[in-house]
Amino acid sequence: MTRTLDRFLPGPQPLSATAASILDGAAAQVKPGATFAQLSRAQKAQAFETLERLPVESAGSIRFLVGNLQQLTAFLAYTTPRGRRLARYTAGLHGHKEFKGYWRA
Amino acid sequence: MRDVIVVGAGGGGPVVTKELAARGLDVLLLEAGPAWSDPEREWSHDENTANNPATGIFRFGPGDRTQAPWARDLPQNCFVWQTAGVGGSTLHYFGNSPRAMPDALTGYADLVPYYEWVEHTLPVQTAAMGTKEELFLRAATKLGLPTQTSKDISRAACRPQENAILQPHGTAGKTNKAKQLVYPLAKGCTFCGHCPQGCFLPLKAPLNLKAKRSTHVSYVPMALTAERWAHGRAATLMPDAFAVKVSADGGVRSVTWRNTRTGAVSTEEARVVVLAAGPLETPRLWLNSGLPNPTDQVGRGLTDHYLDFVVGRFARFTGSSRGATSAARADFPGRGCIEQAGVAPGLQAQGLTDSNDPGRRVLGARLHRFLADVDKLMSIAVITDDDVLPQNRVTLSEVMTPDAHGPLARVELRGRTARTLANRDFLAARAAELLRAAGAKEVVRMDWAPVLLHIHSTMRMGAVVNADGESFAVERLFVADNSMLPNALGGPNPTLTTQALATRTAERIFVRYFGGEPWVGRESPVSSVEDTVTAAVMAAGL
Repeated sequence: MTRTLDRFLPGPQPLSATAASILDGAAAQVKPGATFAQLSRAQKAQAFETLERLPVESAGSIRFLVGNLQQLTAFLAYTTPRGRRLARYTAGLHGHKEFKGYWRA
Repeated sequence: MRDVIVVGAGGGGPVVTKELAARGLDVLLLEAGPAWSDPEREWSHDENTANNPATGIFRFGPGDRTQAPWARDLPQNCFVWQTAGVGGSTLHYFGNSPRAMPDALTGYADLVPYYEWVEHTLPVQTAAMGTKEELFLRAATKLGLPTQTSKDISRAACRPQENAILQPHGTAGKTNKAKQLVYPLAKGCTFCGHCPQGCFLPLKAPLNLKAKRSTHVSYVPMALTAERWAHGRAATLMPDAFAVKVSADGGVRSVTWRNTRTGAVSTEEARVVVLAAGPLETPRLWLNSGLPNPTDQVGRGLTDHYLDFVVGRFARFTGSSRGATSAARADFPGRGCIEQAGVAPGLQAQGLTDSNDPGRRVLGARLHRFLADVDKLMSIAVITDDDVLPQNRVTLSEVMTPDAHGPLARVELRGRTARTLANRDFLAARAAELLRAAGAKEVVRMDWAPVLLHIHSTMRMGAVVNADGESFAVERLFVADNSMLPNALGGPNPTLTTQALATRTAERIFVRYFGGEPWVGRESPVSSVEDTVTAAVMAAGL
């Protein structure tokens, strides 16, 4: 995840660090003094909701970044060998015995 | 001076290139992304290797993947799924090639011969069935939807996709044993299930006989061998060439591009220039070039089918991850369409966690439950007939730092009409009904945040270009990608319509500026899989 974010938009500050700062900032609003990692699952969801409710005019690209974090995490998790095993997915085959013919109404 | 320079080797640019090269014109085709010399070696079925937006083979970025992808200014929650490289987004597309809703296009009947020309060239064929297609179509029938048997959409109906995927022959679709899935034992679609990861199968097939008909394997090889199969003139392909400026001076047009590997900047002149860099980069290039924009319509009116995703979990095998990713659909004139989207676990997980509404996201234990077996899912993409709104647009970013190619494209999605929202709800409800009729135990509608996968109408016909694709403001300057579509086509997937219009644009260029005669309706098209093309491709070493 860190690699993907940092490669996605290189800059003076890695995008992963920016994402972490944004999440920690939202966490502090949910539970003063806490970082995002210290929140319960319900509180983490609350932190995301706080960020996603930011008005478009002031949030700018934060909405884009935060909106994609969960999807990207899910994508990356289920493209690992463990994720593929969990999904009972046979990866990498060049074909399947699955041709049933052509549709007739 | 070239006869024609085409900017962009995605869905539309290679069509213009091939058609004009076949007429003997000197055509230069520029592509910002890389060329592929050996897809069997260069590409991968692995989702992360292929589709990671930052590092994947099919990202929107330079061919040198140690460099960052190209950025856009995206001031809202959304996901842009585009590919750079020869073939563009047809590399990862599902190959679905329906015609537009007839009522959505003025002059639809005039376009039909151009549809037929492209359908023969690619070619477009009726999709073969696997388990998921049978389930989908049986359920649709149970709901009272008849089967559409013509290519023209005439009523609310279901059908196997008309898609740009070669039908299976030989061992294809009949085995999973790699040694038996080699050309010529296997021909056409092998049911591997990897359409979004690019199609390099069957192994050892000549380039123009790969199953999925991206322009990389259809129009581009024909363009590069036009002197061999058509007595034309081979087009010149220039990959890694990011166009940064288009100029118009009297009767001369010119394009300046930057080599993304060396940084070298080059300029060539041409009698005609065709922009086909896609609906985000074409308006960016126009605005960065300082070309006229007298009515302030360049970049305005973006439509994206406001895609949604409805997923059913089944107790039985559905074969969701096998076969062509999307091989069955239902069309609802006036509303839009629904179609299967049977992707591998990574993209499936991405789709299940995306929503405008945090409460709808399938997370944690529920995500594990849904993805306990990817082949017990059926996913349906909702592709909405969405309306053109001027505030949905591409401009130049004033927020982000320009890159080596100038100010970045800023993509703003600021509203939806009540009709668009109602259409989307209607289609999502039909998708959920269909999944329940198919036997789903649990159904979720995601209400996706905008996924920009079908992007159109930012250089709209009637607003920026005329019916031939030529700019109202600058003659000899044409547009031939999804950006020139006048609207969202009523919902159907846009590539075929763009390719039909690009064919017409090529014909009009030849007639108006090179003194030629039209050919569509007068000549027979040559299919990209004909033996003459295969021989030409092999002789050229492609």
